[in-house]
Amino acid sequence: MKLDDLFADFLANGTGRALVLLAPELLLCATIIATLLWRLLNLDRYVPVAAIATLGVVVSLGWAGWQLQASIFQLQPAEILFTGMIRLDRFALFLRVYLLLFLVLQIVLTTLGGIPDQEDSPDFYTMLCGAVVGLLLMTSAHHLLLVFLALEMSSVPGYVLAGFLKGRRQSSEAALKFVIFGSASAGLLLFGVTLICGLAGTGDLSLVGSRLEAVISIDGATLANPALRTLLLALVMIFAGMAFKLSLVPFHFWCPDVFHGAAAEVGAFLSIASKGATLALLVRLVLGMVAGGELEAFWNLLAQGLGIIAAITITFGNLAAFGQTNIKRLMAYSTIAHAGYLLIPIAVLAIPALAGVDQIASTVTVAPSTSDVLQTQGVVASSVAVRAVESMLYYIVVTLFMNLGVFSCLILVRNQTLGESIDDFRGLASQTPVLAVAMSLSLASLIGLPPTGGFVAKLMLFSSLYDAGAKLPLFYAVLIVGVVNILLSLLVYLKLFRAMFFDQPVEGAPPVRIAPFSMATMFVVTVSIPVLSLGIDVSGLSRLSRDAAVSLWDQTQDESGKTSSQVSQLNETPVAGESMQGNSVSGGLNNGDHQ
Amino acid sequence: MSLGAYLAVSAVLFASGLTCMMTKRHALGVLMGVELILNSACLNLIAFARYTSLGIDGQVFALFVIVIAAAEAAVALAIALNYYNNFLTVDVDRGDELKR
Repeated sequence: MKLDDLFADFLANGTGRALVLLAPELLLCATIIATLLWRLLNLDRYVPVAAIATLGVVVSLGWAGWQLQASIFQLQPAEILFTGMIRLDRFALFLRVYLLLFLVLQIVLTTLGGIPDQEDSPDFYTMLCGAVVGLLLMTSAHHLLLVFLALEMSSVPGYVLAGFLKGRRQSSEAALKFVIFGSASAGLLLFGVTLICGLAGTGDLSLVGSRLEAVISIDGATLANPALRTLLLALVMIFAGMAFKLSLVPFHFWCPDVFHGAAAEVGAFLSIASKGATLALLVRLVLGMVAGGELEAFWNLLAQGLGIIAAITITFGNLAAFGQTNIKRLMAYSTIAHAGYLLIPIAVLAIPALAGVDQIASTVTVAPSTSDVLQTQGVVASSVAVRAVESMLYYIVVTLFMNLGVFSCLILVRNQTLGESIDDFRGLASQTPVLAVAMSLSLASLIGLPPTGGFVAKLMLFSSLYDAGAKLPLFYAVLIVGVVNILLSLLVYLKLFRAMFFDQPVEGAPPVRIAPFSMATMFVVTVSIPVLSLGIDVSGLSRLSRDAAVSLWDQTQDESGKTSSQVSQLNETPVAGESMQGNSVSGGLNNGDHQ
Repeated sequence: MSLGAYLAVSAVLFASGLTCMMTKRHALGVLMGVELILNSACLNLIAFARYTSLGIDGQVFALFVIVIAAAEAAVALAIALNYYNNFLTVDVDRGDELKR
């Protein structure tokens, strides 16, 4: 393809319209520039930078919310933008609203907590908004290039945020550990991504799965096949990179140290927004790469591996959280445990029979945006996958409110007592009942006790896990581990309940006094209400997240013909040595002839 | 030259980068290892761009990787400098205040 053609193609694809659709991201970029210029022009003496950042992010959130509701009511199909780089469906729009809502709450929280002072606040908000731009791109990535790019866009500002308290030894140590482990895992991930690109001969996530299947099935899916070994290596490397971001067990060691050393505000960012977007990216990656046919047994094995890692992560997180006295460290281990729970839907999606790989080929039509995904074949099968994604989305929305509840209470208490250990929470109920109640509500949700959102989220997760167990019995074991861990986590958080409600304050400790009608109280109450209401009124958010989940399987507007024909073609010729891509790719790999 | 030759060089680069990362205790040494890994991935991409149907996508990908690597190195060096200001060393093992 010539450069001229490329350029003409780029313009013909409706770049102008694509830019409008990407307005929330662009508005965030504009906010970054505005916050930087604001201090340069010395305007921050009159209007604080936080106000400008809030304004920009609220406008962006409004735009994203409007796009989401328009997409739901007008049943807009998924769209591929920027020559296949971005897939904008309701899944992406939903997570966009989620991330921007988090950003608004986070900026308000930083103004209450006062961690970036007047002098440093432009830097802080620049990094925060920059990281969120990366996270937004992660949720809509549709090409392996963008997967890596967006991951790095969100990680690099994260390293800076971890080391934001420059003069503190703990903070700089946390940042160094974060940046070293982070860049190492990013390197691994990149190497894995390049191997996948080479094997499949494309980076387009809608094609990778079927191309991989075509390449592997030439020599059969056994370990004697070098292509399969390469694929396995690449997948392990990619998983290592993603597991680092999610803090899953073999790659979790950075998490407690970084949470401990960095400010609590940064911990909130890492445990909420970063996790949510990484999960979304993992959903897209798994759905893009999972393949049936010859590779079905291989992927079933991988799915079971993911399930085992999830079980280990949950158990480890809860056991390690048990002995902690620092709340930030405790929350780090709690984040690890919840990352384990959230890995379960990904494991369910990695089962080819559930991910709808074969069903799409056999029925071709995936009814968009209705609750019954596949009318004819495999109704039960694919609706399990949809329910898994739905429960994941519900879970991360609940996580947003409950983790923010804990972190905001922690920040408010820290500002009064200058400490972040459990002892600083002793006697909180007698001093400021509002904080104690909000905190215990969030903790109850973290455990998964009935009237809170955490209970519903776990219930939805377990029900999709139970259905997946019908396919792979190992998932029943994961289910049992998950349920037992609820009891374990109860023991972990019991200490905090006791400290807040039954213990007397430490003698000589400064009392926690927060005015009942201050901004701080209002913020904590605002964050706590959804924790409760999501546990009582399930239908609203559940319908929204189901709509978002279903759209992952939507055929896209301009590429629908290509995608469906690709899959069905492979289905007709299981050998696939005759299919065109199979030939060109394998020829490239084995003989090295120039295309 | 076949694709295998390029991939062999890149595998050697990757292995040396990984070894460097694992064994060095000096923060900058670890970062050098990371650079080696990123460059081996770049080499992979260029080779695949030439020999498989990846085509120009691979070359564009490699360009982006170079830019990202530069940005990451800048941030990592700044953080290492800040670490030095606090600890008067860049030995990774000396940072043990968070272990309890």
